Amino acid sequence: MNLDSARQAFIEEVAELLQTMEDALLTLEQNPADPESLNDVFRAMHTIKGTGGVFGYTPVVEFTHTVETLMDQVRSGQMMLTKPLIETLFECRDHTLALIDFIAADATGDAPLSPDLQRAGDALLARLGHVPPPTPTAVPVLNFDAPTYLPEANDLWMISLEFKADAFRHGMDPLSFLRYLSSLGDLVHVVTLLPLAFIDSEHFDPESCYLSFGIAFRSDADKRTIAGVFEFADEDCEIRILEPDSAHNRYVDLLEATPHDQINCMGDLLVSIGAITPFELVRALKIQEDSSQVLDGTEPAAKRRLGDILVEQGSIKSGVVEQAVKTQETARSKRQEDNRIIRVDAQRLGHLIDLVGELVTSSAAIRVMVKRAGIDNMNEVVDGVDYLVSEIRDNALQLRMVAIGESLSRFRRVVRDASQELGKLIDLVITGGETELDKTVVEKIIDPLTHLIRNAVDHGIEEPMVRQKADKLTTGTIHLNAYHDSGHIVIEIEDDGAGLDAARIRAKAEAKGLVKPDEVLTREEILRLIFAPGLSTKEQATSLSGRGVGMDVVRRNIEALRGTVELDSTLGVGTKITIILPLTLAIIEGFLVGAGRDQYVIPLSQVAECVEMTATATLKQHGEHYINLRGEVLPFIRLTDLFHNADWHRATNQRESLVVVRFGHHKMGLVVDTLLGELQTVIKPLGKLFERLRGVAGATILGTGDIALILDVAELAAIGQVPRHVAAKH
Amino acid sequence: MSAESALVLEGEMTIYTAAAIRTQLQDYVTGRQHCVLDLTAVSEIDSAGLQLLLWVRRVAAEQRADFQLRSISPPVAQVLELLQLEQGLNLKTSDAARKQHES
Repeated sequence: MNLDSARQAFIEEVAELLQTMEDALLTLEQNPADPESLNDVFRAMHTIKGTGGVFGYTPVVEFTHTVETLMDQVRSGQMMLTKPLIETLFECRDHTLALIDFIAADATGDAPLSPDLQRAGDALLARLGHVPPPTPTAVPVLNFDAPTYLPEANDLWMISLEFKADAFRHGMDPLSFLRYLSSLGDLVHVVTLLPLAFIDSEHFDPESCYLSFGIAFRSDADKRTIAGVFEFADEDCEIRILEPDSAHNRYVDLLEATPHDQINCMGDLLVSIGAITPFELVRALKIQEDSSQVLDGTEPAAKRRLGDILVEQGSIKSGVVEQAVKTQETARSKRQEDNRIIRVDAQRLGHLIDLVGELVTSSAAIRVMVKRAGIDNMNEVVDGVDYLVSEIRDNALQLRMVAIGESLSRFRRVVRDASQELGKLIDLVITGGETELDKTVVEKIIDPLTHLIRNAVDHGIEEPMVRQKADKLTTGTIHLNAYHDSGHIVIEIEDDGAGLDAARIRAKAEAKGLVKPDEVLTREEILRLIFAPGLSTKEQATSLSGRGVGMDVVRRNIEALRGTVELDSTLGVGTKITIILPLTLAIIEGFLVGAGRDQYVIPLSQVAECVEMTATATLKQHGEHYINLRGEVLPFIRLTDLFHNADWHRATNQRESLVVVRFGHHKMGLVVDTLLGELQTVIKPLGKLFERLRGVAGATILGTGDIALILDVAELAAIGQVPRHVAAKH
Repeated sequence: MSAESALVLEGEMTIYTAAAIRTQLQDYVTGRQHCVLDLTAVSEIDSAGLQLLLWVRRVAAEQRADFQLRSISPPVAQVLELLQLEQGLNLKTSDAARKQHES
């Protein structure tokens, strides 16, 4: 992995961690004591610090370190998590993102921080009550309550300290550590050693340190706290801390109780339950690495087990390691059943899906050739290939599917910030987060969704006072829901706010000349006018939305994804916006029909049924455009009329077929000449030239090499309705 | 053992004075059968000073001489108490007892 891709991975990881942190902070806002969320925030900062350190991003390390330290205090109950503090933490999260963005934008990775960023960071740290770190020799003064001793007489920590020769010269005074240690508990027994055996008294250097101490220590502090005493001595001292038996049992219990999905490495596992300190882990990992490097030259021997090294170092008793190994193995076997995740470049996936598309087309061509050549015994093989190709297609598309929840949860922050700014109380409820859709679609739908949600916050939900007067709960609700429906994903944004005022929209649209005063429009059509360019009902543009651009852009974005957007609103009750999107942009199951001289593909997921027109001939036809289908009034379009491509050679008495299609809650019929059957359809976008072509979503290449247009049913319906209004006016 | 034979150390017993005190102790202890230190006038002691005490006791033991701390100042007493070295450095019990009362 080169540095650039490593950096990229780092940036992506940070983005994920910050998302987790944001979610956790949002939870903490509701429940400041939630331990899982506290941990999440801490872990996010801790991991970013660690990884940032590997890359040498000092500003990131310095900043996250302070936040991490603070979170540690919060976690251990030394500090209260107040509302303003959470607010500051939100800003810290954003600042970290800004730092990472800065790094991402900077190719070399070592440009100095811009003064603005530096100032912003310093200001935040100041608000966290950060004071510059003390000089390494100073021993921090902590106020601990009088230690309460554990009752067991043999419940002692065993601490061994071996100072290195240069300790004095580095400004260490071993006695100060012991004094500090004595503030945490009881030094039950101290052995002071001066191991001079290897040196005769003549060569004794009074300025070198030869001292070592063995200490039996009684305290109810945890290992982390005790190790913290010697934090600054790491360089100049061999420190070993062995837990008392009671703690030992506690570690084993903790290991047994550790949820399996939280287990990563042996080292992390032991650190997480407090059996070893991070420093001990780093030291052991280094030994592990060194030993494997030595062996690299000779033979590829297995790495030494981390647990063995830790026991050897005297960091931990072997019983704890054994339990840790056990827990780790259980988790490992469990995880193999769980999903393992591999990161893959999106471009490679895109390429794979393109190739699968070509394969689908080629296999259709083979089928046509075999049929033409009349080789009967080839049919079975072709069927087999077809089956496999469709399986490969489904699997390849599945690779790009992601749960939408991750993307939706970012709106919690959008709603929170926006509602705070406007002084509104809003709950965002997200359901159906597990609904999957193509990642490329997700990326493109986020912007329109953001806009719609901001609209709901800004124009939809009223101020608490207004809501109270209207006999509504002061806290408004925005409900974001996603689900699958016949090959499409449906995303609903529903608010219980003020709703849309159809009369005002109409007045506005008339003022702007979008509709004529005498035009007859249904309520639905009036509401849809807000998707027309240049119409905003809010008189005053706020910083959030309402500058008159937007809803038309939203509609365009969604339609570019071959999706539709529907709107329903009741004045004073709320607004519901429904977005319907195809699951994927690449390959669909299509239904091939022939009309006139051409062939067309209708997305199979939208086909409800096929009826022969001759069989419905007895049905009464209303004017030209309606038929009675089993008592239901169904509008229909004759494709040859629409595309003006009727085949004059075709006998007029030949039977036509009616394909009933569904889109959203609507149904309509398409009259075609022939039904040609199901077809795996690789969607090829039409060129720029045909961008404005309505009713056509794309094209596909058939096995014969011919081209068929893919119909956009919803747009066809809109086109089909136009003559009706013309008719209605007269 | 007479009072004259005791070595009286004064002022700091720290890393800053360690080299000088080492010479002093070396000169005193060489050839002596009874080593007695008087630390009443020691104003401050750190790890280096403590290390010197442990060293000189060892040198004395190597030449089979007695070693005794005759009297100590409160700063020294604190360190010896922390490290539980009163007996190891053969502090006269009366002093140790006195110290206990003080603290």
